[in-house]
Amino acid sequence: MKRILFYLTIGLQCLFLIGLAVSFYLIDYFGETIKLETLPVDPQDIFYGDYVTLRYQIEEIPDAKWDAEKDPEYGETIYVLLEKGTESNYQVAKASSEKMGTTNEQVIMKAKVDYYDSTTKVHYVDYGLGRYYIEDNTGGKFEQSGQMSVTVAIAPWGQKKIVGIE
Amino acid sequence: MNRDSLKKESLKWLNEGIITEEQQKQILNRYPAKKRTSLLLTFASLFIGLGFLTLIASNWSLIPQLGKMSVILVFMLAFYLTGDWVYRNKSARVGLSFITIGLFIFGAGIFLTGQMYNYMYFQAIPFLIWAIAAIALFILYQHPSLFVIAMTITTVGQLYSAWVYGSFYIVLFVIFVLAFGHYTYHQARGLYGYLFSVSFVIHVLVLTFSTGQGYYWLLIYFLVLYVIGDVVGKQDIRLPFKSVSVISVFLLSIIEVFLLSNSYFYENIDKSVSFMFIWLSIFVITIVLKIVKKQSWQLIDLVLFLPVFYVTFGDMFSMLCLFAFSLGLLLLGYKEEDHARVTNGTITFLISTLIAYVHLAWAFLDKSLFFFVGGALLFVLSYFLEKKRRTVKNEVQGGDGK
Repeated sequence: MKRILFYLTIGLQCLFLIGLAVSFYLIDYFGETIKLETLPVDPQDIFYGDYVTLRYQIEEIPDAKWDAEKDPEYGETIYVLLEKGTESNYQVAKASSEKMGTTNEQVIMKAKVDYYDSTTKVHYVDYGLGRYYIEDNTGGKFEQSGQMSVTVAIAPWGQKKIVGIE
Repeated sequence: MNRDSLKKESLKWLNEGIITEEQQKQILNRYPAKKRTSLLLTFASLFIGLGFLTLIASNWSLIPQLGKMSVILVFMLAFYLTGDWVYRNKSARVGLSFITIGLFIFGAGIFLTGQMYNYMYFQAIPFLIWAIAAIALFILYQHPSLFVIAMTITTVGQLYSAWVYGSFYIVLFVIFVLAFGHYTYHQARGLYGYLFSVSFVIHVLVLTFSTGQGYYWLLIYFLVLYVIGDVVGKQDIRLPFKSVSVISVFLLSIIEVFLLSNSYFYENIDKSVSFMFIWLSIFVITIVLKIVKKQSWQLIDLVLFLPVFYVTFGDMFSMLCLFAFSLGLLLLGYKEEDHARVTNGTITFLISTLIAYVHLAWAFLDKSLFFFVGGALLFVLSYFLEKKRRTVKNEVQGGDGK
């Protein structure tokens, strides 16, 4: 009996780690891809060794679209409803602390509350998509471009990843 | 007893004719020479394992993602399986050190996979999973070292939650109370008792400060720990729970002395009604318990749990509580000729005096005069207390000798 429990314990640990990896690859099959605009960043700043840092337009949510507690705590979960905008890029439609229903061409992304700037009346959130790891010596091509369009895949279970940058 | 020192000692006995050579051999045979090889083996295997790990870690960025995954999995499985085999067939200690490395690889694996695949957690879930794995291994092997490791992972997880997410992770706390509470209660070892109560204190500190409760809620949590220690009759739980609780509340009272004298802080304390209600009920229960168990002399501990912030001049009141507690300990110690209590009373009394002195005299005295007078005061105090303590100790020892 103890033997079985031992193998069960380490088996579950393996499964957990494998599950983490597999679910990441499954996003490609089940996920919905959307395009997001980045904010123009000082090109010199974005390249850090093996990854680029990205800031997105949808990370800044004005008060008008903020349908949650006015003063949420740092790190709190917030659901952001994104809608397809004019140039096929997705824009923020609404942000709420509750999950909401979606119609066609709408997706929900889970984010963490970062901070609120009371002078500009903008809420800053973090989607966890701020870093894009790139292959060696390809950083140069990112250094030149200021504003980029990032393709993100979102899985039905909420996981997301960057598929490409252009 | 150590075999080597016994050998030397018994040689003297032999020479003095206290024992015969035959008896010396018999005595020595009771202490077989320890197998040192197992200890060396542990280190050898640990070093080799760690060598591999650092080798991989230093070349980590060169390995492709799937390669990283397989490295983690293969190493984890290898350490677990060898560990289990060694545990059953060779040596429990070596086996457990392998299993521990396996557990650490699993923990590192969670974080590394998370980083590789860009996972964003909203709570300290990695630590939760890791803690559950550690607890499962402890349940399987029931070895204290795994208890210590599992407890450490759980506690660090709670601190991580406070640090990274600024929140109290209730799930981790529930698991802590259920799993560790169960084994601490049923196996009742002093070590488990101390670890549990220290970890409990850390958990409630995170609870109080990350959820923005008033600091005074700590009084209730510490009191709960104290009462549990009192209610559970087992010595190995009662003593750790109560002493950790009393030490924590003693430190809290010291901090209160300084905090409450700050008028800004004092005026901004949000006095909650529910606190008073809960505190009062637990406090009354504690007093009743003490009286029923005929331990009314222990009521002196409770003076530290008073919510001094309700009164004006709470800092002075808190200081009074510190003195009342330490003097109570001292007097009781002298009365019952209890050496340990006199020592504790002496230490707490000296600390209280120091605190009172710093608090009252710092602002009024010239700084160098402050230190001179303070030093002299402590000298005089410690002289008298030490003298008294020694008399008690001698009396106790003399009493035993008769």
